[in-house]
Amino acid sequence: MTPKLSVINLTKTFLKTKSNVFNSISLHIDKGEFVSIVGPSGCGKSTLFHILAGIEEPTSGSILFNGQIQKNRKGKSGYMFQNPLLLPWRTVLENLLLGTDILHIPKKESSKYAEKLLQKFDLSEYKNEYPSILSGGMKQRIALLRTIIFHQDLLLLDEPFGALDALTRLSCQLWLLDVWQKYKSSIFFVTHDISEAILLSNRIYVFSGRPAKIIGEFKVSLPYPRKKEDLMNKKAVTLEKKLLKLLLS
Amino acid sequence: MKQIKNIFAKYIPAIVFFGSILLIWELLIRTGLISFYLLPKPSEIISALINNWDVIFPHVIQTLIETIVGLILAIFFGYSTAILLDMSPRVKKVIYPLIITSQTIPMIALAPLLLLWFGFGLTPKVIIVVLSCFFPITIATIGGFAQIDRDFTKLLQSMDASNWQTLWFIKLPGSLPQFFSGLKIAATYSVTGAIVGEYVGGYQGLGIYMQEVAHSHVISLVFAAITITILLSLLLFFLVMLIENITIPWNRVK
Repeated sequence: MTPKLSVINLTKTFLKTKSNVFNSISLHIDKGEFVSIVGPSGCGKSTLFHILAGIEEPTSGSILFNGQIQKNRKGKSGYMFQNPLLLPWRTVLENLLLGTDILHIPKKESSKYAEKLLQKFDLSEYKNEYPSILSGGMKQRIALLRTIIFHQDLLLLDEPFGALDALTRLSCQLWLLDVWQKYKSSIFFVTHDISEAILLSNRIYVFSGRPAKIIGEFKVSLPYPRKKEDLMNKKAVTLEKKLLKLLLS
Repeated sequence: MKQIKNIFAKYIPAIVFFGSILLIWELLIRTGLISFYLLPKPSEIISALINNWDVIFPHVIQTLIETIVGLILAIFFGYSTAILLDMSPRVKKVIYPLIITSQTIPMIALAPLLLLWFGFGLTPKVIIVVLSCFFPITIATIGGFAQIDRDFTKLLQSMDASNWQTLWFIKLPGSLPQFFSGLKIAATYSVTGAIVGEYVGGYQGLGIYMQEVAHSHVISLVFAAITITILLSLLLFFLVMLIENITIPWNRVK
């Protein structure tokens, strides 16, 4: 099976400082797979995501979507930031339509779809509210739904729950798993929280500090649907210890 | 309607304060502490205004037309300049100092020249209104563009949005609050700008009228003209505020 996304020997050098952000990184995400990167902060995970989303260009190496080399990657994935970036001047429903507005999809069609989506996830009551009244967790849910409406096949999630408190984060994580199961998306997820990576992913790549390389790749062999208690599972605990040791070494 | 009521409720203390000043003013002259030759009573100004309304009214309309045409052009030029400067840093480097320099030119020196170049009609007055109003609009809007979170632009880039879409979806609505604070300043400048333009020459307008009555030493009518100027400026200011309230509904939700 051709992977949804593969990265081959990708290197990024900042021209000004002549420093390598990462060096010859190769990785892949299969169709419908949930893959996470964990690594110390500042290891270039966000730069990698910028490159995958087409906002920046790599210095060398190639990126393949569905086995095809992708030169222009803008608009070919759903990119979500740590900051939910809901537009304050658009209501929840209008925020969901940002991507489809850019694609010139008629409002009639897209808003019908968005409303159905809100209904599906029990968020309909918020549809005409402005984002300023929403809680942090709710903002991230809306931002995720916006990402899915724009592009549900391949999602690039850059520490989406990093700024949330522990309880909200947990409920958002389980919610994300639910969304993923429903849409069978391929998800590439950045975090520095090891247990978050274990709870969510099929597979985990471990990045070193700068210049970043991949220093480990682990399969998480826990069955879905997962619950918080799965983290106490012996397999999960051993994996967590391994990852921690690798990151601290 | 409720919002309009709220806006006015906010100004009750100011209105009460202003009213008491008028009252003290009236009393000072009635008691003879200040001679009525030097300063007319507020009541006298009001009655002069009412009695001469049919003479003043055409002048008011003339000034209002100059002001509104000038203000609309200033919004157009001010906003387009802001967009242009935001889109190209190179253009900004060239144009920005020029814009600032344009504000250092004394209007009172420029006005007679404009009269010479464009005649006694509407044009020179409108130009002065534009020159005094576009600056606050441009500066405020550029500030508005600059404070928009850059991640918004990145998000739109990742969605393959064009520059125009980024402008339309992010920059335009994101800079509206700043644009309106600039426009409020511009609105208060605009009437005075038109009057300066008229002062140096014209057929009609409050500036002309002010000169006429000043030359005939009818102080109460000079004050009446000043009162009208203030009222016009305030009217424009509140009009801008009203439009702001309608166009930025998300700022009302707290």
